[in-house]
Amino acid sequence: MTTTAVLEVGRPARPRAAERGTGSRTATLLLLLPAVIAALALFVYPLGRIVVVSLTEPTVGLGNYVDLFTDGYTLRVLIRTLWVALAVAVLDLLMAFPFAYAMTVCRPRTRAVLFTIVLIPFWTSALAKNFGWMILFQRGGLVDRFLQATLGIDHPLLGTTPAVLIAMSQVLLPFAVLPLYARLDQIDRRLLDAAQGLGASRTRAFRQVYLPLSTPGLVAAGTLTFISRSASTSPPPCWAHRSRP
Amino acid sequence: MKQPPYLYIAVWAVAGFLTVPTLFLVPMSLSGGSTFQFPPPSWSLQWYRNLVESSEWRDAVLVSLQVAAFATPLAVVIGTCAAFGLMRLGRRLRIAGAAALSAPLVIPNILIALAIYGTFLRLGLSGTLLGLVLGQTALAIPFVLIAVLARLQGYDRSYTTAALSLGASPATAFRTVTFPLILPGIVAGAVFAFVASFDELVIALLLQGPGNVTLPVQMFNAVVEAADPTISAASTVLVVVVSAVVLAVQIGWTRRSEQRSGDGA
Repeated sequence: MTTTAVLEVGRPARPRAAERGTGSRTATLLLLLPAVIAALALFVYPLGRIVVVSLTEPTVGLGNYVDLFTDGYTLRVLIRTLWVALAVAVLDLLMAFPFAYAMTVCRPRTRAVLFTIVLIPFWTSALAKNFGWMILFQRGGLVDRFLQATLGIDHPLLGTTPAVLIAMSQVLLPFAVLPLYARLDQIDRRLLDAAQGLGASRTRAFRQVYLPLSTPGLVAAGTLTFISRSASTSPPPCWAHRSRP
Repeated sequence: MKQPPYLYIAVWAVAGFLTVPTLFLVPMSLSGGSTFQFPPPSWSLQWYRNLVESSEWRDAVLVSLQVAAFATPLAVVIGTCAAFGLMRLGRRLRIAGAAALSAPLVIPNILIALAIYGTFLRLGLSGTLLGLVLGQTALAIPFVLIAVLARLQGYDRSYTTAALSLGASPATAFRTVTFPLILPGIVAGAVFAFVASFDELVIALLLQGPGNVTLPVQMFNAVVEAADPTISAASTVLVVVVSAVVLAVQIGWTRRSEQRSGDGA
């Protein structure tokens, strides 16, 4: 008994699972069943029904899709959506880079504080956040009065594209900071010292060594921000917990 | 290494950008005026009183709590079971299964809401509490699944094997060894599920009916239709309560891992 147990410890999981036979397979299915039923009943069927309806009503064919792209309105909205998503991604990368970089070089206590701050948009209610922005942007709000006083712009920011851009980049900034931090944290900083030891200036070492090494992180951060623009909340708090050194 | 000063400026500017809109809610909620004027013309607690005393707002809070009270445990049980089930599959199947079951996270909420609304309307579930609970559960399951799965992937199966070899029955081994070690993942999943369901607007907006308006829907109406400043008090309470829960979990977590690394040293 003891010997088999000890032997089993060293063995990979897969043969063990196969060994257990059909009884265990039933258990696996039973464990997964509720989630599968929930997914089928609450996503697959409802979404599938929409696809079917879109193709069959009022008549069978692609008529609804043709209307969608030729009514002159939907296409404009679609283009604006993509444009805003792209602008938000760029804005977020510009803000995320110094922030994520600072997280890699600061003391652990400061890093914990920065982590907490970056996760704020995740746990503050979406409505509360938007309401906060609304107070700032409304006519007679702080931003409005500031713009009137400094630039003489007599037009409230609320309801304009820049307002949407600003509020959205705040909501999505964690999606840019977290993957970027994960990448920047892996870069060996001695490479920078080596570059400077070989005569490169600080700026040049940064541009030619650090920046190329951080590219995968920038790509990941940009893609994630661009895509998740449409999904409201996501669970990266748990990735953050895992990636914390 | 010494960092350039503009780095500090950039970092604290970004940090301010992340926090400021939320901080504005607190003074706003203490306004003595009856508009969204900022800074408030005078100070009072009238909107907090309204939040507690107005039946509209109180009912909305109660409905939200009710929905979360049903949806969170349901999501925790279904998500945790699914995570354990996925761990028993081969690597490739597990990744595919996890991706399929957490797809709702990447599908835009409005699309899911419209689809569920269409189906629930035909089933007579639209406008009922059950419909809301089912919708919120569906959205919350992936949060639990991902949190528990992450925890399980870091779990060393040889603990279970050791317990079994020392004579524990599978049930005892699960109860005394596996479960306590997985618990932080389940707790984190439950917190995310609760927050996701408590704060969900789009599905609740489409599935609302007389007598089951949730707090986010009530807040939405307060801005869009009524311009009711009670929303600032409601937002503040929401932010404070949720932050307290999240921070408590996070602090407990850090302390635990510190203790553990302390034990190891």
